[in-house]
Amino acid sequence: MRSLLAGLCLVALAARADALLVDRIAAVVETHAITKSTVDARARAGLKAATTDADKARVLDETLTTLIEERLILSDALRMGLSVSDQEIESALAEIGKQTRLSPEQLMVEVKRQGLTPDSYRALLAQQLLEMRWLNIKMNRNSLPPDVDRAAFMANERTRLLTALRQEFFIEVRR
Amino acid sequence: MKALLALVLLAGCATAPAVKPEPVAAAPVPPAPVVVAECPKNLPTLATSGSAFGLTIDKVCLVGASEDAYLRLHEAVAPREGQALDADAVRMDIEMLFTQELKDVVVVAQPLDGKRVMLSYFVTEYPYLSDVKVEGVTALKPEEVRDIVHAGVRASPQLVKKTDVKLKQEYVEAGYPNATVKAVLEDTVLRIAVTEGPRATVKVVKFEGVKKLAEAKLKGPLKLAKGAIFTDELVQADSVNLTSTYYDFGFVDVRIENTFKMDDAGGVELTWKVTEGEAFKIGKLSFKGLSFSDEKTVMKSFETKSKAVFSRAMMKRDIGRIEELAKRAGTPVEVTPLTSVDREKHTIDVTFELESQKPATLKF
Repeated sequence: MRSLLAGLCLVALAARADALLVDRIAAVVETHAITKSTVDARARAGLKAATTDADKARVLDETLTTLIEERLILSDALRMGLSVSDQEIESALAEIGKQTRLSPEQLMVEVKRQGLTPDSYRALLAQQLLEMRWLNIKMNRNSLPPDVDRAAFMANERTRLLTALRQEFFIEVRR
Repeated sequence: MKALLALVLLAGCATAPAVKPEPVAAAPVPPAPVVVAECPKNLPTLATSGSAFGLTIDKVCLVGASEDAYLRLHEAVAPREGQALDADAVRMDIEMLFTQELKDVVVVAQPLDGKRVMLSYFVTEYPYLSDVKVEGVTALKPEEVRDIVHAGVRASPQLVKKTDVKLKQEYVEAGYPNATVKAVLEDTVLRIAVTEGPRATVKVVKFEGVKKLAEAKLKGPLKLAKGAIFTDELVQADSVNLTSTYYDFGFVDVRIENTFKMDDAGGVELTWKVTEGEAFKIGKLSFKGLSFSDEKTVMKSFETKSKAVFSRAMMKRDIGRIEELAKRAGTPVEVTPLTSVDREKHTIDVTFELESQKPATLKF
């Protein structure tokens, strides 16, 4: 009986020692948490290509910065009442399929190969569509010189607007 | 039986050394090991590798929540019991819990055996704000500050940031663009120090790049004239006013920017920098969906004429005329002007698209 009890106690003790982290908060933007699992999932492809610890740390840092920027834009876009409909996401998927000459099924196979789920790919697409809409509304067209490269101008505007949002929103990196 | 074994196990753990060995006739068949799944009190030491995803969640624990938040938060995560441990579900739980003004959420899985797991949500809460102490505020009313921040809410860094930003915004809107606001949290007391500076008043309005329109014409609709309180809202409004004036004289490519300088006494020198572009004329005028009359008759009533200088205000009035004519004819319409700009010829073709307005119906 004693050995049985001792064994059961050991089971309990062993279980305590095996506690595993499931997830935690990697960064905060206002009242929104960006979790470690979100960062890891988005960084998966980059981490595969990284060969050194320094490379991996850089990939994770860059991914976290991207996720923070996306959240800032999303928060501002929602505040402005912007949204993206399911129909718009479907149209974008159809357009990507047309450009890449992939059927919807083949496109999803490629998405999975990149380490994304169909749902997370759709979410990413929705984010990109929303960001384009946000940038089109917020950018200062008045300061667009006539002969400038539009893509470069928009990239500059994105940076300028994000700098302003960083001033306005609470951001905390916990990693 | 499970409860009995649990009691036996607990008793056994506590008193094991005192149990006297007894002779055993035959080796007993050991029962399946049962682990007492007690919620942890503190964050345990975590294994550096391994995964519990896919195991069934036998028990959900919420650790660290205050008495008044416990039920609400536990209710939110308790439905995970009986489900397989899933990364996305836990991520969503963390995101949802964090919106409840928590300071931190860490989720830990404790494998109980090869199939089951105990899932613990370790939460940390911010204390409540006990007081707000304000210094240097004279231009705003106490209730205006109270609307932004007051005791009784969670004393979080988010609150400090929000207070800083909103109070500064209030000052800019009230005409104090140089006001500085510093909010600092000391335990549960929020201290706000404000240096208001002088109230900004327009001293002079200047224009740069204005060649084709008279300055007097531009100044007419401006709200920020000499002596006006200088606010961001009025700057935006005047930017729109200037653009509208230019649009009414055909300058549809006009670009308006502004800069301002403020002296120590709050006197503002505001400069509007204008890039006028070319004046555009009306090209072709046409209609789509016109049924209550013919084009010639409608155009007779128009101010907008082909080859005349484009004017947005004029076009707006003409849209009103179409709607009035349609209404009189008993076929109310909504009019959308569709424009096509030719930047080489500096002309704008306009198509007035008419859409029938469905009569309002009452449903009972």
